[in-house]
Amino acid sequence: MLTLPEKVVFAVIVAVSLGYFTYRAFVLVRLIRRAGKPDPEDRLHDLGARMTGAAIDVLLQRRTFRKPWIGSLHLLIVWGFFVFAVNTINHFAGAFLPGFNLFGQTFLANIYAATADLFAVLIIAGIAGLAFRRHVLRPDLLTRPSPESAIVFTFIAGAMAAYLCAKATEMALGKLPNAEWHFVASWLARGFAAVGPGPLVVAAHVAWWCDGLMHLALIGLLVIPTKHVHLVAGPFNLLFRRFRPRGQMTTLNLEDENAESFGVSRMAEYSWKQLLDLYACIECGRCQEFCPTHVSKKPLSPKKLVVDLKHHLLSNASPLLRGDETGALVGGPIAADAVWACTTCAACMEHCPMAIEHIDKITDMRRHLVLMESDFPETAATAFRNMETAGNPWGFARNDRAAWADGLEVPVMAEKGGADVLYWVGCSGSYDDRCKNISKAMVRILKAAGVDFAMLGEEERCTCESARRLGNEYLFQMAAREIAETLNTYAFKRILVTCPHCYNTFKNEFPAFGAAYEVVHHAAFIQEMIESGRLNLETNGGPLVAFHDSCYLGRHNGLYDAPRRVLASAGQKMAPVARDREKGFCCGAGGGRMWLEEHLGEPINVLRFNELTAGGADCIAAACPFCITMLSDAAKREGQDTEVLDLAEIVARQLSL
Amino acid sequence: MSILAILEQRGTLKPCALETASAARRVARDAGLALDAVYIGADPGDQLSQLAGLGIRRLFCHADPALEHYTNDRHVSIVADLVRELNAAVVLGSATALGKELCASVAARLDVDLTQDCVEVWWDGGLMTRKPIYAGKVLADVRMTHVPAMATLRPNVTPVERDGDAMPEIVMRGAPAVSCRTELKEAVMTAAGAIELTEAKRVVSGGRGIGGPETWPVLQALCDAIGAALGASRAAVDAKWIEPSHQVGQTGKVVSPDLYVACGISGAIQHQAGMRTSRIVVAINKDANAPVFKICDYGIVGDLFEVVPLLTRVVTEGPKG
Repeated sequence: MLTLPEKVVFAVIVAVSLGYFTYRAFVLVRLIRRAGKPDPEDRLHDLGARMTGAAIDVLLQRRTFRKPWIGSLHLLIVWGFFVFAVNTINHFAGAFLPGFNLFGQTFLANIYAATADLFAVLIIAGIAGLAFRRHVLRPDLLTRPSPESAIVFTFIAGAMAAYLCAKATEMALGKLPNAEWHFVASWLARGFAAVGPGPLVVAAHVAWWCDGLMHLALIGLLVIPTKHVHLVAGPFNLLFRRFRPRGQMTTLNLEDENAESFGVSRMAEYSWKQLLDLYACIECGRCQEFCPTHVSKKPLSPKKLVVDLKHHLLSNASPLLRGDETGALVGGPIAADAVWACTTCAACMEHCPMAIEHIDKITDMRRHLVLMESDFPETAATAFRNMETAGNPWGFARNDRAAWADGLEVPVMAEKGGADVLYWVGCSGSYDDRCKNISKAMVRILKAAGVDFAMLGEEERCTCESARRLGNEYLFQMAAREIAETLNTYAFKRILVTCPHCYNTFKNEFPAFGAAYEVVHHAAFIQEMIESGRLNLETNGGPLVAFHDSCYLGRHNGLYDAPRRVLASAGQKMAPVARDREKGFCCGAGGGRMWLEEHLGEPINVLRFNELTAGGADCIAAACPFCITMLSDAAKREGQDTEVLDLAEIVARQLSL
Repeated sequence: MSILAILEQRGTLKPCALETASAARRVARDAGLALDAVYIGADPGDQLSQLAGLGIRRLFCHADPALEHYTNDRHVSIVADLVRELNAAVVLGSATALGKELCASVAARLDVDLTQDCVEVWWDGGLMTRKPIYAGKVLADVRMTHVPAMATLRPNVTPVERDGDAMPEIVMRGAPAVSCRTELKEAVMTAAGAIELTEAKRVVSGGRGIGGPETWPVLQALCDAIGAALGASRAAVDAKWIEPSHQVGQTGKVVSPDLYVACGISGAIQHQAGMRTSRIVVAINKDANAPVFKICDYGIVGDLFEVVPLLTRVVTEGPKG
């Protein structure tokens, strides 16, 4: 096919390009190895499960299929990519060995010919579909204009078109052995045959070169890099994905005398996995679709965060590779307001097809601001001080902690010594007039079910979960040790909590501090009591109820069904909710935001309140004191008298006497 | 030897300047020394007439446009040089933010002793000062054993005493030739008349129950009548009825006044966290079930549009009937 000068030129181009690409790939790998610190999690343990999971996610596109249409189009391109990897080898080798085929002259070669033609068309269709979505449907998730996407789209579709033309012209010249199997190219070949032998030879050479160079360009786009790099970085990111619970933050060793700094202020303080995350991002925007800060028009979008970090990483590659210090992230590529806006609701991590860990990137930056710079929102200082000195965020007296239970005859551990169930009331349940009702309802339920329980009373203190998420690791660890010490003096089988934040802390974080106990959230506990026949509820119905999924119950810990089953058992009629379960929308109080003012954008709780009541609900049910506070505030703000109730309150109301 | 009083000004002479002069005069009399005073500022105009009868012998009047605002470098240099020149036995200033900084700097410059924030000073063979310690639970009498001795006097505790209308001899002086490390470009004042929330002895707050920003004048009238600062709950701030700087609560200001009047505030926990250490809490709310009634000392169930103007009238006109 090629003339000798062409072969020489092609050989030089391929050699130089591949040399450069190899060098670039080496730089990219070296950048995360050199700039990234060791990751606190063992990213290789359970390798079998990791490989299986990554293979399913890549080959079957399990994660992209959450949006079935996009997943389907993307699947065509992914499979097409594997098909065309073979073609690239055939094409490049064919330059020097005319007629080269990895499958030789076998029947397999015929099958492959048909498959490649089919996928060339499917890939073009896939690209056209995705381009249509981006440029005509214009969903908010996608960046527009996006030169990178335009380039990637053009080169992929162009490479497919060039492939078909190259095959068609070859066929028209009568040089393609298994012509009848190239069912698409053969159709095009009829058109090419009409141009006459002279122009046909020229067309064949042009098509051949286009095909070769387009493929080369696609490899180049991987390593320059454009976001195209996700197709190499992505599978590795899925392989090294987080196995520890989503709700478990890393533990800082605050006693490490060699540690010069805590948290992350500069790029080189992230772990290698955090940096690999940046390469893996394809900028699909699924992370921001259910993100409360993005939707409420605040300066944080998880997508923008990752993309800005990626650009900062790549533009600082030289100093990072030399080991030189690079600029501060907060106040540089990342706005302080963005760092403090996050509610850690995990909508981003839930929906990211690449399993990127957004929350840790933010909480690591908060840790540095709090522990090293003492630079945090003023109102957080009040909460920190109160949690530290009074053991609750509002600064109420410790010895008033059990006052809510006066006259209710709630057993206290210090007097009882042990019980089946330790009822952990939590700060809201102990001090907040609104949430004391939840505690009282819970006590009624426990007594109705005949449970042997006791609370800690004045020995209880705040878990400092929100302080940890605001970056105050020191305060959290102090509280964790103190609580572990208290718990370890009593005998009980499990801990019952009515707060998902306490739940997550007991389940995922306290075991590392010597308090490894079975913990149960009251949604699951009440379900268990109902299903074992220990609770009998009236099922006379009531108002139409919209259930609000709390992030730390649902997305962080997978408890979606228990609260719904409890409501069903209590005979509640459920109203439809637009965003629920995995797609649930945060109330705005997570991640310590409960203690901060919301000055930017729209109020998240009002957005959520209006969404919950849109289906005609007269009552909102939730299973978290923070959610209840936020949604009650929103109801007042909107001038609505919609009831906002905890599951326990609804169940207590339905108790058969 | 003489006694030197520092007369503080902020555009005009502050009342505490006259108090400081009065206190210094008693010290001077008991010590048998003459009283001198220093004024540092722009041209005082006819304000100096206020000094009549305060018993000041000489006033060193450093008047220059460059001295209009306080700068540590210039003020310290003036006072320190004057103390040396007069061989002053006692230097008295006011325990204001400005006075405390100035006197601390002068004391450091001259390496002399200073007692800050005194409520009383007198002479007993040396300078005696009385100051509250342990958050006011104890009064300490401090004997200053060296001269010169310095003290700052807390404002509003010393009566101004005049005797006749003799004016001091005025010694005009200019700005010192010192290089300044800082230059004040502009002084931006907060709204005149506003009382700082966290320092206020009395606070009147409004919440969602006030219905809208048009109600603030009703509350402000009560504030003016009892000398209170205006506060607000988070709900009122969220509704953009008032600036966030007025917010009292967990995420606003933490106040502990002697009197806290909560109008139309339900008393959610986040609000309680900002005012629960108030000494007396008065709640006015239409809803008898509002949680605020559990934490108040006096509760008035009623329409604040009736109750608040009534309270204002009672305070301004006295009780009738």
